[in-house]
Amino acid sequence: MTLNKRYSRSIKSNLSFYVSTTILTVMTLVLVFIMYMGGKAIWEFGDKFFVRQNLEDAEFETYLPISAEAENELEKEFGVTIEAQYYNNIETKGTTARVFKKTHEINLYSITEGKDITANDEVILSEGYAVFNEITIGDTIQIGEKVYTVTGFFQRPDYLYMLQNEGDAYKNVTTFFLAYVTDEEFEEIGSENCLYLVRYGEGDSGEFRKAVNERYYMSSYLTAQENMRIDMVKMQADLMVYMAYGLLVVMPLIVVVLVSIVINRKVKSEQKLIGTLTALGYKKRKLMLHYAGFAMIPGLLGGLLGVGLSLVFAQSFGELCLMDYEPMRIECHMNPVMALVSILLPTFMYVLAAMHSVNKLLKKDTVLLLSSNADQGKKSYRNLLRKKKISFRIKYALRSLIGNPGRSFVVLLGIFLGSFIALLGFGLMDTMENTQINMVDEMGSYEYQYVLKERIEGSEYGGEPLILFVMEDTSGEQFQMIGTEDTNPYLDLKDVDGNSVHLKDGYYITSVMAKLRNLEAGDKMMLCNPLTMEETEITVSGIIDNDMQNAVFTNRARVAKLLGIDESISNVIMSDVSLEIPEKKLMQTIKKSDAKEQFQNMTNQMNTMIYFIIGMGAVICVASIYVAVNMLVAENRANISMLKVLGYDDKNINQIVLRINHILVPIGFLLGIPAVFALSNWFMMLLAGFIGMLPKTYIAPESLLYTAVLIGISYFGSLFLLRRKVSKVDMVESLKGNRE
Amino acid sequence: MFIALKNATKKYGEGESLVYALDHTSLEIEKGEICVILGPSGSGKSTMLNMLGGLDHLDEGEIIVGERNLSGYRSKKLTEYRKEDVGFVFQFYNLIPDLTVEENIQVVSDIAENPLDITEVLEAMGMEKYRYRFPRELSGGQQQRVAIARAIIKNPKLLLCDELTGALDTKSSKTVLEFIEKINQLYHTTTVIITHNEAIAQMADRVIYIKDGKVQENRLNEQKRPAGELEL
Ligand SMILES: Nc1ncnc2c1ncn2[C@@H]1O[C@H](COP(=O)(O)OP(=O)(O)O)[C@@H](O)[C@H]1O
Ligand SMILES: [Mg+2]
Repeated sequence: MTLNKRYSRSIKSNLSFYVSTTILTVMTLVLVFIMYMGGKAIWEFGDKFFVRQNLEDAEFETYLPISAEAENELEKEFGVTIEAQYYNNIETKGTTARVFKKTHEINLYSITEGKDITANDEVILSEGYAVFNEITIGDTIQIGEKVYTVTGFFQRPDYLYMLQNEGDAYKNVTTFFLAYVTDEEFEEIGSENCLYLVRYGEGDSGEFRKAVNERYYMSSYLTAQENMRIDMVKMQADLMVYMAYGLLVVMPLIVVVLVSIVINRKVKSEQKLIGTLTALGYKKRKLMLHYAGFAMIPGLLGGLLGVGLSLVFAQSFGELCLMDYEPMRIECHMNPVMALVSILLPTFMYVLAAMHSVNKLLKKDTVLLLSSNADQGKKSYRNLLRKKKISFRIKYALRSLIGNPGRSFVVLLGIFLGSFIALLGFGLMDTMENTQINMVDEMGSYEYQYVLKERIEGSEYGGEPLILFVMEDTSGEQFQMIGTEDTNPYLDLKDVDGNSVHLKDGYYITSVMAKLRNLEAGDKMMLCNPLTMEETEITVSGIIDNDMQNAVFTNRARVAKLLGIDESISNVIMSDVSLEIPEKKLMQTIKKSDAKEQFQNMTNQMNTMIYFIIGMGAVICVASIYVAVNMLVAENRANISMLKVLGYDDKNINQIVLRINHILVPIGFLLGIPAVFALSNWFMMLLAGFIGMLPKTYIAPESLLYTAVLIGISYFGSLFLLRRKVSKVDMVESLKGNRE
Repeated sequence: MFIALKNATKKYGEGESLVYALDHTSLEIEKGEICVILGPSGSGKSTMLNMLGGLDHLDEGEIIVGERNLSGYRSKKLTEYRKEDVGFVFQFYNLIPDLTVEENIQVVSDIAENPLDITEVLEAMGMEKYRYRFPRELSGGQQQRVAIARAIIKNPKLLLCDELTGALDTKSSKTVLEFIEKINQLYHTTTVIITHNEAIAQMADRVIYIKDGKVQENRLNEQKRPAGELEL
């Protein structure tokens, strides 16, 4: 068909439209895809690896040792698998090696490179440390007094995130590693520590835990879900997948709507040609197909490129997100259904938009089409100010703004999308930073929190002693139970209305806990002691304004009663100065700066994603605004050149034809702000489910400024580029064609 | 002599498709004249008009309009020239669709130094009662009259009309031409009308024939007839 010769010409003359819409489609798709593919690959890796290596369900320590026979009995009795994990921490020249005795049923290690140990002078190391310190197979390494030959590297399912201590803030692969030696060699070293690993299978975990506590006195119990070394992997993956599904998936959808409207208007602007072709006897079907062909290009090209680029970049992106973990061999796959949808959906929508508007046009009189008057009915907006004595400039501006709602909407949407995505990136970053700065104040004014190995009576070391205990709810989720008094100088507990609370009156939950569990004052809640499995129902007396700790506060007496201990006993000391407490009595010292660091560590994991969003956001911002402005200028082209003919200079033309649209810029930008708040709040709530803290969405003034500048540059830059294009088309050219 | 074109040349395209729209051609027109330029389609009439109106630059040669030598003008000076001295009327009216009749004219009167009175001009055009109509609510002839009103509202020194009756029926054409004539008489506006309709030449003071980008003939019309008596 001769008509099809138009394809290459039209594409050439509308190149910037095709390029910018394709870029938009590609970018937004890539953003969603690689986030999703990365997250999905981590999930898959975790799932497979955990199953293959028999990951623990929980680990615990007891005051009395459980003998091998007792283990067997417990296993039979409760239908569970238990295994003792013996290990030693050996310090050598500032580096700590955690040497494990091999286990055979739970938390099996997997050799990732080299060979397993066979001789007593051989050792295998955790891979992250080896990579970081550039240790190669065949090297020798000194552990304690002895020197071993490294035969390989390994990973353990419960150490994918290499925390030296349970409560540590950040991974350590510089001065800490895991190692296995032969059983014989391990006996030689002698074991100092023992931890019990358990897999429940079909067994009843509640009954088992109760029995273990009764017989051997549990001193700690930690589920895999609460174990940061294990759960961080899932958290990372969840973050990425939720980010993709929840936050980013709206982007390509907005783009599809935006581009569809633009296509619709482009077809309308060709009504004269359509009219002529109809008059020449072209069938509706043929015309519809012709325009469908044009519309397909950005959809198909965008979809294919989007999928292609995602396939290229997802793997490196996924690995980038896993920088903080032991080197996980993830494999990113494209879900074929998703790929198909993302290629076909934009294509389908664009084609539909084109066919629909051809169809609508062809319902009109051919004569109307020929005079390009088809979509100009008796529109009431025209009567706007018809007889008013106001400058024609204002009338023109208002009529073109209101009389072209589709166009105004596209401009608004383009700017909204641009500011939304740029602000989202900045906002997530600001929120995290702001939280990190403010969290400490929300938690209290203490500097040190000493967790003691043994309970103390009175306050022999100074500071403010209190009882802090980890509790579970009936579903096994853990939170802190804090027993202290109103007189605690380091805590200033206020309810959400700003009134001080009185701990002796009952149980107060933090606001983050209230939000996560949907609880209000007066509601009932079940508590479960994770060691004894004793359940207690409490009534929530009030809600403390604290979004940083997932905790229940009450007075010492109540906690003591819950735990069945004496009221004068404490296990934690808060202080604003460093206290002299013997090392061996201390389980852990939490400095406020540690809490900050812990949070920083979590933020670091998100940063790769956020930087990525900001980067892509800038491109999407520029592209979406360019698409909108492109249409604005294209549709005003005739008027612009007519005004030029009549002797208007560029500045004046800009004022008449384009300036009115400037008001859409701040509107689109401002609309982006609540949208970012809404989405970010939703996302933070999700995050709170993982980390027990609810960061409050915050956008810094600088970020607003940066975004505004970015939007301004994109908008006025696009205007500048496109207006130059218009002035390049000489006036003569545009006079030849019939006007609208 | 008001208008002088000297050795004017305008080329389009290059290589195989190179066309001389104006081919080293010259011409002169006196002040206050109605000048009709005739020539077959593609002969370079529009190109010549566009050059006279300061819409484009010559590749070679000179254009002088009144005191101005357009050849040396940059686009800013050309804009000023169009604004101050030139009124355009085109075959397809080229009105701004979102503006009423009155507003379309205001577009020009707004930036003119000494604009005529809008009501007067509209009355002269017989368009006063359509003042608040939008272009699409008018017939082609009516739209063209608005276009003329827009062109003359600034009281231009030079009125340029490109195939102004090209899209009109005989009756409307005649009316429109009568208005052009009337304006010429009222304001002594130098008027250049481009057409391929030989009959229109009868109302001219001067007739110019152009072919292949060259002026073939430039003569005064001895038997000038009023526009109303033309047989179109
Ligand atoms: N923008 C252009 N690009 C290429 N060729 C052009 C352009 N404008 C005019 N021409 C050519 O210049 C010649 C004169 O055109 P024009 O002045 O429009 O003729 P007329 O108005 O007499 O019909 C024609 O051969 C035409 O094809
Ligand atoms: Mg012509």
